[in-house]
Amino acid sequence: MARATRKTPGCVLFLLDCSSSMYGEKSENLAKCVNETIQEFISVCTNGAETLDRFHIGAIRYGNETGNAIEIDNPSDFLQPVSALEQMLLPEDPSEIRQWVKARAGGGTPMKEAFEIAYGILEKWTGEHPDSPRPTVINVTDGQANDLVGTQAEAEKLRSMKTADGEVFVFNIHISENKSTSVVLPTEAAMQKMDLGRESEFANGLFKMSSELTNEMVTLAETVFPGKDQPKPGAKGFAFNAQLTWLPKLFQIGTMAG
Amino acid sequence: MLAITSLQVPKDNSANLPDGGASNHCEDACSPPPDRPIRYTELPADGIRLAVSDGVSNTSFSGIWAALLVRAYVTGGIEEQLSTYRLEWWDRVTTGWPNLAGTPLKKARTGAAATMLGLSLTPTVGESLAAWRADACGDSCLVLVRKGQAILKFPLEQASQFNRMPPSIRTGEFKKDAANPATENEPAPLVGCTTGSVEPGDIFLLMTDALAKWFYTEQEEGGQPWAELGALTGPGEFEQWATENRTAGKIENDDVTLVLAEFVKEAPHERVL
Repeated sequence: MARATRKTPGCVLFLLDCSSSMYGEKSENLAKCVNETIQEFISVCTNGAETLDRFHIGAIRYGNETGNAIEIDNPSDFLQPVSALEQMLLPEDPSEIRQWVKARAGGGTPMKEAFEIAYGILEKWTGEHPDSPRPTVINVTDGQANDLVGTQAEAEKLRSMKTADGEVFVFNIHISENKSTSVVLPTEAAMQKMDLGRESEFANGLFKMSSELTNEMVTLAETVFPGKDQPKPGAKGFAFNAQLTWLPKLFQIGTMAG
Repeated sequence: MLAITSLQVPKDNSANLPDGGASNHCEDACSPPPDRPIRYTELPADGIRLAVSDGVSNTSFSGIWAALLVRAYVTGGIEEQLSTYRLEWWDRVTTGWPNLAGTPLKKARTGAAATMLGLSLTPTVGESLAAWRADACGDSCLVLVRKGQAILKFPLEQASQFNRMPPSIRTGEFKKDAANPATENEPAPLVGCTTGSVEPGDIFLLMTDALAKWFYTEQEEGGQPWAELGALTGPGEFEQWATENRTAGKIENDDVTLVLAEFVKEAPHERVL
Protein backbone atom coordinates (compact mmCIF):
# COMPACT_ATOMS: atom_id res chain seq x y z
CA MET A 1 0.00 0.00 0.00
CA ALA A 2 1.45 3.38 -1.00
CA ARG A 3 1.98 5.91 1.76
CA ALA A 4 0.23 9.28 1.75
CA THR A 5 2.87 12.01 1.74
CA ARG A 6 2.93 15.61 0.57
CA LYS A 7 4.51 14.42 -2.68
CA THR A 8 2.03 11.57 -3.08
CA PRO A 9 -1.09 12.71 -1.19
CA GLY A 10 -4.03 10.48 -0.44
CA CYS A 11 -7.55 11.36 -1.57
CA VAL A 12 -10.93 10.83 0.09
CA LEU A 13 -14.14 11.84 -1.66
CA PHE A 14 -17.52 11.57 0.05
CA LEU A 15 -20.76 11.21 -1.92
CA LEU A 16 -23.60 12.27 0.36
CA ASP A 17 -27.25 11.51 -0.23
CA CYS A 18 -29.16 14.71 0.59
CA SER A 19 -32.54 13.57 -0.71
CA SER A 20 -35.72 14.37 1.19
CA SER A 21 -35.75 11.01 3.00
CA MET A 22 -32.51 12.03 4.73
CA TYR A 23 -34.32 14.82 6.59
CA GLY A 24 -33.65 15.04 10.32
CA GLU A 25 -31.43 12.77 12.33
CA LYS A 26 -29.92 10.99 9.31
CA SER A 27 -28.64 14.09 7.51
CA GLU A 28 -27.51 15.65 10.79
CA ASN A 29 -25.59 12.56 11.84
CA LEU A 30 -24.08 12.14 8.41
CA ALA A 31 -22.84 15.75 8.30
CA LYS A 32 -21.47 15.38 11.85
CA CYS A 33 -19.55 12.18 10.99
CA VAL A 34 -18.11 13.66 7.79
CA ASN A 35 -17.02 16.80 9.66
CA GLU A 36 -15.44 14.75 12.44
CA THR A 37 -13.63 12.65 9.85
CA ILE A 38 -12.30 15.77 8.10
CA GLN A 39 -11.16 17.10 11.50
CA GLU A 40 -9.42 13.80 12.24
CA PHE A 41 -7.57 13.91 8.90
CA ILE A 42 -6.42 17.46 9.61
CA SER A 43 -5.28 16.44 13.08
CA VAL A 44 -3.37 13.40 11.81
CA CYS A 45 -1.65 15.61 9.21
CA THR A 46 -0.76 18.26 11.78
CA ASN A 47 2.71 18.18 13.24
CA GLY A 48 3.62 21.10 15.48
CA ALA A 49 2.42 24.35 13.92
CA GLU A 50 2.05 22.91 10.43
CA THR A 51 -0.73 20.99 8.71
CA LEU A 52 0.96 18.92 6.02
CA ASP A 53 -0.99 18.31 2.81
CA ARG A 54 -0.86 14.53 2.94
CA PHE A 55 -4.53 14.28 1.99
CA HIS A 56 -6.98 15.96 -0.34
CA ILE A 57 -10.61 15.68 0.76
CA GLY A 58 -13.88 16.50 -0.94
CA ALA A 59 -17.61 15.94 -0.61
CA ILE A 60 -20.35 15.85 -3.25
CA ARG A 61 -23.95 16.11 -2.19
CA TYR A 62 -26.79 14.73 -4.26
CA GLY A 63 -30.46 15.63 -3.91
CA ASN A 64 -32.37 18.65 -5.19
CA GLU A 65 -29.04 20.47 -5.40
CA THR A 66 -26.24 18.23 -6.61
CA GLY A 67 -22.74 19.62 -6.30
CA ASN A 68 -20.01 20.55 -3.86
CA ALA A 69 -21.09 19.88 -0.27
CA ILE A 70 -18.31 22.11 1.02
CA GLU A 71 -19.11 25.79 0.61
CA ILE A 72 -16.09 27.43 -0.97
CA ASP A 73 -15.55 30.39 -3.30
CA ASN A 74 -15.02 28.18 -6.32
CA PRO A 75 -17.50 25.27 -6.08
CA SER A 76 -15.75 23.41 -8.90
CA ASP A 77 -12.72 22.93 -6.61
CA PHE A 78 -14.04 19.72 -5.11
CA LEU A 79 -10.86 18.34 -3.61
CA GLN A 80 -9.23 20.50 -0.98
CA PRO A 81 -5.82 19.90 0.60
CA VAL A 82 -6.17 19.47 4.38
CA SER A 83 -4.28 22.73 5.04
CA ALA A 84 -6.96 24.63 3.06
CA LEU A 85 -9.73 22.91 5.03
CA GLU A 86 -7.87 23.84 8.21
CA GLN A 87 -7.95 27.51 7.20
CA MET A 88 -11.73 27.46 6.63
CA LEU A 89 -14.24 28.43 9.32
CA LEU A 90 -11.50 28.73 11.97
CA PRO A 91 -13.29 28.65 15.33
CA GLU A 92 -12.25 30.68 18.33
CA ASP A 93 -12.40 27.53 20.44
CA PRO A 94 -10.24 24.92 18.68
CA SER A 95 -12.15 22.05 20.33
CA GLU A 96 -15.26 23.01 18.34
CA ILE A 97 -15.96 20.78 15.31
CA ARG A 98 -16.38 22.94 12.23
CA GLN A 99 -19.26 22.46 9.80
CA TRP A 100 -17.48 22.10 6.50
CA VAL A 101 -20.48 20.01 5.45
CA LYS A 102 -23.96 21.05 6.56
CA ALA A 103 -26.99 18.80 7.00
CA ARG A 104 -29.26 19.07 3.97
CA ALA A 105 -32.27 17.14 2.70
CA GLY A 106 -34.56 17.63 -0.28
CA GLY A 107 -35.46 16.15 -3.64
CA GLY A 108 -34.75 12.75 -5.17
CA THR A 109 -31.67 10.53 -5.16
CA PRO A 110 -29.56 11.36 -8.24
CA MET A 111 -26.74 9.04 -7.20
CA LYS A 112 -25.68 8.47 -10.80
CA GLU A 113 -24.95 12.18 -11.23
CA ALA A 114 -22.81 12.15 -8.09
CA PHE A 115 -20.74 9.24 -9.45
CA GLU A 116 -20.40 11.08 -12.77
CA ILE A 117 -19.05 14.16 -11.01
CA ALA A 118 -16.73 11.94 -8.94
CA TYR A 119 -15.39 10.38 -12.14
CA GLY A 120 -14.55 13.79 -13.60
CA ILE A 121 -12.82 14.88 -10.38
CA LEU A 122 -10.78 11.71 -9.99
CA GLU A 123 -9.88 11.45 -13.67
CA LYS A 124 -8.10 14.78 -13.28
CA TRP A 125 -6.72 13.98 -9.83
CA THR A 126 -5.25 10.57 -10.70
CA GLY A 127 -3.66 12.14 -13.78
CA GLU A 128 -1.98 14.70 -11.55
CA HIS A 129 -1.06 12.20 -8.82
CA PRO A 130 -0.16 8.93 -10.59
CA ASP A 131 2.03 7.69 -7.70
CA SER A 132 -0.44 8.47 -4.91
CA PRO A 133 -2.28 5.87 -2.85
CA ARG A 134 -5.50 4.69 -4.49
CA PRO A 135 -8.25 7.30 -3.98
CA THR A 136 -11.20 6.42 -1.76
CA VAL A 137 -14.84 7.19 -2.54
CA ILE A 138 -17.35 6.76 0.27
CA ASN A 139 -20.97 6.90 -0.80
CA VAL A 140 -23.62 7.20 1.92
CA THR A 141 -27.28 6.84 1.07
CA ASP A 142 -30.55 5.87 2.71
CA GLY A 143 -32.58 4.87 -0.29
CA GLN A 144 -33.05 3.82 -3.86
CA ALA A 145 -31.00 5.58 -6.51
CA ASN A 146 -33.14 7.20 -9.18
CA ASP A 147 -31.31 5.15 -11.80
CA LEU A 148 -29.65 2.08 -10.30
CA VAL A 149 -28.43 0.59 -13.58
CA GLY A 150 -26.95 3.92 -14.68
CA THR A 151 -25.36 4.39 -11.25
CA GLN A 152 -23.77 0.94 -11.43
CA ALA A 153 -22.26 1.75 -14.81
CA GLU A 154 -20.83 5.03 -13.48
CA ALA A 155 -19.45 3.30 -10.39
CA GLU A 156 -17.82 0.67 -12.60
CA LYS A 157 -16.15 3.41 -14.64
CA LEU A 158 -14.97 5.07 -11.43
CA ARG A 159 -13.50 1.85 -10.08
CA SER A 160 -11.58 1.24 -13.28
CA MET A 161 -9.48 4.38 -12.70
CA LYS A 162 -6.22 3.81 -10.93
CA THR A 163 -2.98 5.15 -9.55
CA ALA A 164 0.20 3.07 -9.37
CA ASP A 165 -1.14 1.84 -6.01
CA GLY A 166 -4.35 0.37 -7.41
CA GLU A 167 -7.92 1.02 -8.48
CA VAL A 168 -10.19 3.62 -6.90
CA PHE A 169 -11.68 2.17 -3.74
CA VAL A 170 -15.48 2.50 -3.60
CA PHE A 171 -17.26 2.04 -0.29
CA ASN A 172 -21.08 2.09 -0.26
CA ILE A 173 -22.93 2.61 3.00
CA HIS A 174 -26.70 2.37 3.15
CA ILE A 175 -28.06 3.77 6.40
CA SER A 176 -31.38 3.14 8.08
CA GLU A 177 -33.11 4.27 11.25
CA ASN A 178 -35.10 1.04 11.36
CA LYS A 179 -33.86 -2.05 13.11
CA SER A 180 -34.10 -3.96 9.84
CA THR A 181 -31.81 -6.84 8.95
CA SER A 182 -28.40 -5.29 8.47
CA VAL A 183 -25.40 -6.43 6.45
CA VAL A 184 -21.95 -5.11 7.29
CA LEU A 185 -18.87 -5.74 5.14
CA PRO A 186 -20.15 -9.01 3.64
CA THR A 187 -18.43 -11.45 1.32
CA GLU A 188 -20.13 -12.58 -1.90
CA ALA A 189 -21.19 -15.82 -0.14
CA ALA A 190 -22.63 -13.96 2.85
CA MET A 191 -24.51 -11.62 0.56
CA GLN A 192 -26.12 -14.53 -1.30
CA LYS A 193 -27.48 -15.92 1.97
CA MET A 194 -29.13 -12.64 2.97
CA ASP A 195 -32.84 -12.18 2.47
CA LEU A 196 -33.48 -8.46 2.19
CA GLY A 197 -36.93 -8.88 0.64
CA ARG A 198 -37.97 -6.13 -1.72
CA GLU A 199 -34.73 -4.24 -1.05
CA SER A 200 -32.62 -7.12 -2.43
CA GLU A 201 -32.17 -5.67 -5.91
CA PHE A 202 -30.94 -2.32 -4.64
CA ALA A 203 -28.74 -3.93 -1.98
CA ASN A 204 -27.15 -6.28 -4.51
CA GLY A 205 -26.64 -3.39 -6.90
CA LEU A 206 -24.76 -1.39 -4.27
CA PHE A 207 -22.80 -4.50 -3.27
CA LYS A 208 -21.60 -5.02 -6.86
CA MET A 209 -20.51 -1.36 -7.00
CA SER A 210 -18.28 -1.81 -3.93
CA SER A 211 -14.57 -2.68 -3.77
CA GLU A 212 -13.02 -5.57 -1.88
CA LEU A 213 -11.47 -4.70 1.47
CA THR A 214 -7.69 -4.98 1.87
CA ASN A 215 -6.29 -7.36 4.51
CA GLU A 216 -5.48 -4.37 6.73
CA MET A 217 -9.07 -3.17 6.50
CA VAL A 218 -10.41 -6.63 7.37
CA THR A 219 -8.10 -6.72 10.40
CA LEU A 220 -9.33 -3.31 11.57
CA ALA A 221 -12.94 -4.30 10.87
CA GLU A 222 -12.52 -7.38 13.06
CA THR A 223 -11.52 -5.06 15.92
CA VAL A 224 -14.25 -2.45 15.48
CA PHE A 225 -17.02 -4.94 14.75
CA PRO A 226 -16.30 -7.77 17.19
CA GLY A 227 -18.67 -10.73 17.33
CA LYS A 228 -19.74 -13.72 15.33
CA ASP A 229 -20.50 -11.76 12.14
CA GLN A 230 -16.99 -10.43 11.86
CA PRO A 231 -15.82 -9.43 8.39
CA LYS A 232 -13.84 -12.13 6.60
CA PRO A 233 -11.22 -12.04 3.85
CA GLY A 234 -13.00 -11.28 0.60
CA ALA A 235 -15.41 -8.88 2.33
CA LYS A 236 -16.46 -5.80 0.40
CA GLY A 237 -16.71 -2.16 1.44
CA PHE A 238 -20.47 -2.29 1.72
CA ALA A 239 -23.07 -1.96 4.45
CA PHE A 240 -26.85 -2.16 4.18
CA ASN A 241 -29.33 -0.94 6.77
CA ALA A 242 -26.35 0.25 8.81
CA GLN A 243 -27.22 2.05 12.02
CA LEU A 244 -26.21 5.69 12.24
CA THR A 245 -23.96 4.92 15.20
CA TRP A 246 -21.86 2.67 12.96
CA LEU A 247 -20.91 5.48 10.59
CA PRO A 248 -17.72 6.57 12.39
CA LYS A 249 -16.47 2.95 12.45
CA LEU A 250 -17.32 2.44 8.78
CA PHE A 251 -15.59 5.72 7.84
CA GLN A 252 -12.55 4.62 9.84
CA ILE A 253 -12.35 1.40 7.85
CA GLY A 254 -13.17 3.03 4.51
CA THR A 255 -10.55 5.73 4.80
CA MET A 256 -7.80 3.16 5.42
CA ALA A 257 -7.58 2.33 1.71
CA GLY A 258 -5.39 5.35 1.03
CA MET B 1 38.94 4.59 29.57
CA LEU B 2 35.30 5.25 28.84
CA ALA B 3 34.66 6.56 25.33
CA ILE B 4 31.18 7.91 24.67
CA THR B 5 29.99 8.78 21.19
CA SER B 6 26.53 9.92 20.10
CA LEU B 7 25.42 9.63 16.48
CA GLN B 8 22.13 10.78 15.01
CA VAL B 9 20.48 10.84 11.59
CA PRO B 10 17.04 12.44 11.14
CA LYS B 11 14.45 10.61 9.10
CA ASP B 12 14.47 11.29 5.39
CA ASN B 13 11.60 13.74 4.93
CA SER B 14 12.17 14.35 1.24
CA ALA B 15 9.00 12.40 0.30
CA ASN B 16 7.04 14.71 2.53
CA LEU B 17 8.16 17.88 0.85
CA PRO B 18 6.45 18.83 -2.41
CA ASP B 19 9.70 20.09 -3.87
CA GLY B 20 11.56 16.92 -2.89
CA GLY B 21 14.01 18.85 -0.72
CA ALA B 22 15.51 17.61 2.52
CA SER B 23 14.52 18.50 6.05
CA ASN B 24 16.54 17.92 9.18
CA HIS B 25 13.59 17.98 11.55
CA CYS B 26 14.41 15.40 14.23
CA GLU B 27 12.22 14.21 17.09
CA ASP B 28 14.93 12.15 18.78
CA ALA B 29 17.13 13.54 21.53
CA CYS B 30 20.18 12.20 23.32
CA SER B 31 22.77 13.00 25.93
CA PRO B 32 25.57 13.61 25.27
CA PRO B 33 24.45 15.46 22.16
CA PRO B 34 25.75 14.20 18.81
CA ASP B 35 28.47 16.81 18.45
CA ARG B 36 30.11 16.27 21.82
CA PRO B 37 32.14 13.06 22.17
CA ILE B 38 33.34 12.40 25.70
CA ARG B 39 36.41 10.52 26.91
CA TYR B 40 36.91 9.68 30.59
CA THR B 41 40.06 8.11 31.92
CA GLU B 42 38.08 7.54 35.11
CA LEU B 43 34.43 7.83 35.86
CA PRO B 44 33.59 11.04 37.77
CA ALA B 45 32.94 10.40 41.46
CA ASP B 46 29.23 11.17 41.11
CA GLY B 47 28.93 9.00 38.00
CA ILE B 48 27.49 9.89 34.63
CA ARG B 49 24.10 9.55 33.00
CA LEU B 50 23.39 8.90 29.35
CA ALA B 51 19.98 8.93 27.67
CA VAL B 52 18.12 8.63 24.40
CA SER B 53 14.53 9.66 23.83
CA ASP B 54 12.23 9.38 20.82
CA GLY B 55 9.35 11.83 20.41
CA VAL B 56 6.18 10.01 19.35
CA SER B 57 5.56 11.41 15.89
CA ASN B 58 1.75 11.43 15.99
CA THR B 59 1.93 13.92 18.85
CA SER B 60 2.93 17.54 18.28
CA PHE B 61 6.15 19.17 19.41
CA SER B 62 7.37 15.78 20.63
CA GLY B 63 11.01 16.60 19.80
CA ILE B 64 10.93 19.32 22.46
CA TRP B 65 9.49 16.85 24.95
CA ALA B 66 12.16 14.26 24.08
CA ALA B 67 14.90 16.83 24.69
CA LEU B 68 13.35 17.79 28.04
CA LEU B 69 13.08 14.14 29.12
CA VAL B 70 16.74 13.57 28.32
CA ARG B 71 17.65 16.63 30.36
CA ALA B 72 15.36 15.51 33.19
CA TYR B 73 17.05 12.09 33.29
CA VAL B 74 20.67 13.24 33.15
CA THR B 75 20.08 15.86 35.84
CA GLY B 76 18.36 13.31 38.06
CA GLY B 77 14.91 14.89 38.04
CA ILE B 78 12.80 12.62 35.93
CA GLU B 79 10.74 11.16 38.76
CA GLU B 80 10.56 14.09 41.17
CA GLN B 81 10.42 17.07 38.85
CA LEU B 82 8.48 15.74 35.89
CA SER B 83 5.64 18.19 36.54
CA THR B 84 8.10 21.07 36.17
CA TYR B 85 9.31 19.70 32.85
CA ARG B 86 5.71 19.26 31.69
CA LEU B 87 5.04 22.94 32.34
CA GLU B 88 8.31 23.87 30.65
CA TRP B 89 7.21 21.95 27.54
CA TRP B 90 3.95 23.91 27.34
CA ASP B 91 5.77 27.16 28.03
CA ARG B 92 8.21 26.46 25.20
CA VAL B 93 5.39 25.63 22.79
CA THR B 94 3.31 28.71 23.60
CA THR B 95 6.34 31.01 23.70
CA GLY B 96 7.84 29.60 20.51
CA TRP B 97 4.54 29.58 18.62
CA PRO B 98 2.44 32.39 20.15
CA ASN B 99 -0.02 32.43 17.22
CA LEU B 100 -0.91 28.77 17.39
CA ALA B 101 -4.63 28.37 16.56
CA GLY B 102 -7.12 25.88 15.16
CA THR B 103 -6.03 22.26 14.87
CA PRO B 104 -2.32 22.89 15.68
CA LEU B 105 -3.44 24.44 19.00
CA LYS B 106 -6.04 21.73 19.62
CA LYS B 107 -3.46 19.01 18.99
CA ALA B 108 -0.77 20.74 21.05
CA ARG B 109 -3.22 20.89 23.98
CA THR B 110 -3.52 17.11 23.89
CA GLY B 111 0.18 17.01 24.79
CA ALA B 112 3.30 15.29 23.54
CA ALA B 113 4.72 11.83 24.19
CA ALA B 114 8.16 10.26 23.98
CA THR B 115 9.86 6.98 24.79
CA MET B 116 13.01 7.10 26.88
CA LEU B 117 15.98 5.03 27.91
CA GLY B 118 18.48 6.17 30.51
CA LEU B 119 21.75 4.58 31.62
CA SER B 120 23.43 5.58 34.85
CA LEU B 121 27.10 4.61 35.46
CA THR B 122 28.54 5.04 38.93
CA PRO B 123 32.03 4.20 40.22
CA THR B 124 32.35 1.31 42.67
CA VAL B 125 34.96 0.18 45.13
CA GLY B 126 36.19 -3.33 44.44
CA GLU B 127 36.59 -5.60 41.45
CA SER B 128 34.07 -4.18 39.01
CA LEU B 129 34.81 -1.00 37.09
CA ALA B 130 31.45 0.53 37.85
CA ALA B 131 27.82 -0.20 38.54
CA TRP B 132 25.17 0.47 35.93
CA ARG B 133 21.46 0.99 36.12
CA ALA B 134 19.08 1.36 33.19
CA ASP B 135 15.58 2.84 33.28
CA ALA B 136 13.20 2.71 30.37
CA CYS B 137 9.77 3.50 29.06
CA GLY B 138 8.87 2.27 25.59
CA ASP B 139 10.99 0.90 22.78
CA SER B 140 14.20 2.90 23.06
CA CYS B 141 16.59 0.08 23.95
CA LEU B 142 19.84 -0.74 25.68
CA VAL B 143 22.18 -3.55 24.59
CA LEU B 144 25.19 -4.62 26.63
CA VAL B 145 27.89 -6.36 24.62
CA ARG B 146 30.48 -8.34 26.60
CA LYS B 147 33.20 -10.54 25.12
CA GLY B 148 31.60 -10.56 21.70
CA GLN B 149 28.12 -11.45 22.95
CA ALA B 150 25.04 -9.31 23.42
CA ILE B 151 24.42 -10.40 27.00
CA LEU B 152 21.57 -8.01 27.78
CA LYS B 153 18.78 -6.41 25.76
CA PHE B 154 16.46 -4.06 27.62
CA PRO B 155 13.56 -3.34 27.90
CA LEU B 156 12.62 -5.22 24.70
CA GLU B 157 14.34 -8.52 24.06
CA GLN B 158 13.22 -9.50 20.55
CA ALA B 159 12.64 -7.76 17.23
CA SER B 160 9.06 -9.07 17.20
CA GLN B 161 8.26 -6.98 20.30
CA PHE B 162 8.51 -3.66 18.44
CA ASN B 163 5.13 -2.27 17.49
CA ARG B 164 3.45 1.02 16.60
CA MET B 165 2.11 1.68 20.08
CA PRO B 166 4.99 1.53 22.59
CA PRO B 167 4.46 2.85 26.12
CA SER B 168 5.55 6.46 26.36
CA ILE B 169 5.99 9.28 28.84
CA ARG B 170 3.38 11.96 28.22
CA THR B 171 3.16 15.62 29.06
CA GLY B 172 -0.53 15.26 29.89
CA GLU B 173 -3.30 17.40 28.42
CA PHE B 174 -3.22 21.18 28.65
CA LYS B 175 -6.84 22.17 28.92
CA LYS B 176 -7.89 25.74 28.29
CA ASP B 177 -7.35 27.99 31.31
CA ALA B 178 -5.99 25.12 33.44
CA ALA B 179 -2.85 26.01 35.38
CA ASN B 180 -1.41 22.50 35.18
CA PRO B 181 -1.60 19.65 32.70
CA ALA B 182 -4.17 16.95 33.35
CA THR B 183 -1.98 13.98 34.24
CA GLU B 184 -4.23 11.96 36.56
CA ASN B 185 -4.41 9.09 34.09
CA GLU B 186 -0.75 9.16 33.15
CA PRO B 187 1.29 6.14 34.27
CA ALA B 188 4.56 6.40 36.19
CA PRO B 189 7.19 7.74 33.81
CA LEU B 190 9.71 4.92 33.93
CA VAL B 191 8.21 1.47 33.81
CA GLY B 192 11.29 -0.75 33.74
CA CYS B 193 14.61 -0.86 35.53
CA THR B 194 17.57 -3.23 35.49
CA THR B 195 21.05 -3.11 37.04
CA GLY B 196 24.47 -4.74 36.82
CA SER B 197 28.24 -4.38 37.07
CA VAL B 198 30.60 -3.10 34.41
CA GLU B 199 33.54 -5.23 33.29
CA PRO B 200 36.52 -4.17 31.16
CA GLY B 201 35.66 -4.22 27.47
CA ASP B 202 31.93 -3.76 28.03
CA ILE B 203 30.09 -1.85 25.32
CA PHE B 204 26.72 -0.21 26.01
CA LEU B 205 24.55 0.79 23.08
CA LEU B 206 21.56 3.07 23.66
CA MET B 207 19.34 3.16 20.60
CA THR B 208 16.01 4.61 19.52
CA ASP B 209 13.51 2.15 18.05
CA ALA B 210 14.34 2.01 14.33
CA LEU B 211 18.01 1.30 15.03
CA ALA B 212 17.24 -1.07 17.91
CA LYS B 213 14.84 -3.08 15.73
CA TRP B 214 17.48 -3.37 13.02
CA PHE B 215 20.04 -4.41 15.66
CA TYR B 216 17.78 -7.10 17.16
CA THR B 217 16.86 -8.47 13.72
CA GLU B 218 20.50 -8.68 12.61
CA GLN B 219 21.51 -10.40 15.81
CA GLU B 220 18.62 -12.87 15.65
CA GLU B 221 19.82 -13.78 12.16
CA GLY B 222 23.29 -14.58 13.51
CA GLY B 223 25.00 -11.26 12.80
CA GLN B 224 27.16 -9.09 15.03
CA PRO B 225 25.50 -5.70 14.53
CA TRP B 226 27.58 -4.08 17.31
CA ALA B 227 30.71 -4.71 15.22
CA GLU B 228 29.07 -3.04 12.20
CA LEU B 229 28.08 0.00 14.27
CA GLY B 230 31.41 0.12 16.10
CA ALA B 231 33.30 0.26 12.80
CA LEU B 232 31.60 3.50 11.76
CA THR B 233 34.07 6.30 12.26
CA GLY B 234 31.85 9.36 12.48
CA PRO B 235 28.60 11.12 11.60
CA GLY B 236 29.29 11.09 7.86
CA GLU B 237 29.74 7.32 7.77
CA PHE B 238 26.79 6.82 10.11
CA GLU B 239 24.53 8.89 7.85
CA GLN B 240 25.69 6.98 4.78
CA TRP B 241 25.18 3.69 6.60
CA ALA B 242 21.62 4.71 7.65
CA THR B 243 20.74 5.87 4.13
CA GLU B 244 21.99 2.63 2.56
CA ASN B 245 20.09 0.49 5.05
CA ARG B 246 16.90 2.52 4.58
CA THR B 247 17.18 2.12 0.82
CA ALA B 248 17.72 -1.62 1.27
CA GLY B 249 14.61 -1.76 3.45
CA LYS B 250 16.60 -3.03 6.44
CA ILE B 251 15.92 -0.03 8.64
CA GLU B 252 12.73 2.00 8.83
CA ASN B 253 12.70 5.61 7.67
CA ASP B 254 12.67 7.12 11.13
CA ASP B 255 15.00 9.26 13.21
CA VAL B 256 17.97 7.13 14.23
CA THR B 257 20.00 7.76 17.38
CA LEU B 258 22.88 5.81 18.89
CA VAL B 259 24.80 6.51 22.08
CA LEU B 260 27.78 4.20 22.31
CA ALA B 261 29.64 3.87 25.64
CA GLU B 262 32.78 1.71 25.43
CA PHE B 263 34.91 0.68 28.41
CA VAL B 264 38.23 0.15 26.65
CA LYS B 265 41.92 0.44 27.36
CA GLU B 266 42.19 2.98 24.58
CA ALA B 267 39.63 4.50 22.25
CA PRO B 268 39.27 1.92 19.44
CA HIS B 269 39.73 4.57 16.81
CA GLU B 270 39.44 8.28 16.74
CA ARG B 271 35.97 9.16 15.53
CA VAL B 272 35.91 12.29 13.46
CA LEU B 273 33.19 14.33 15.11
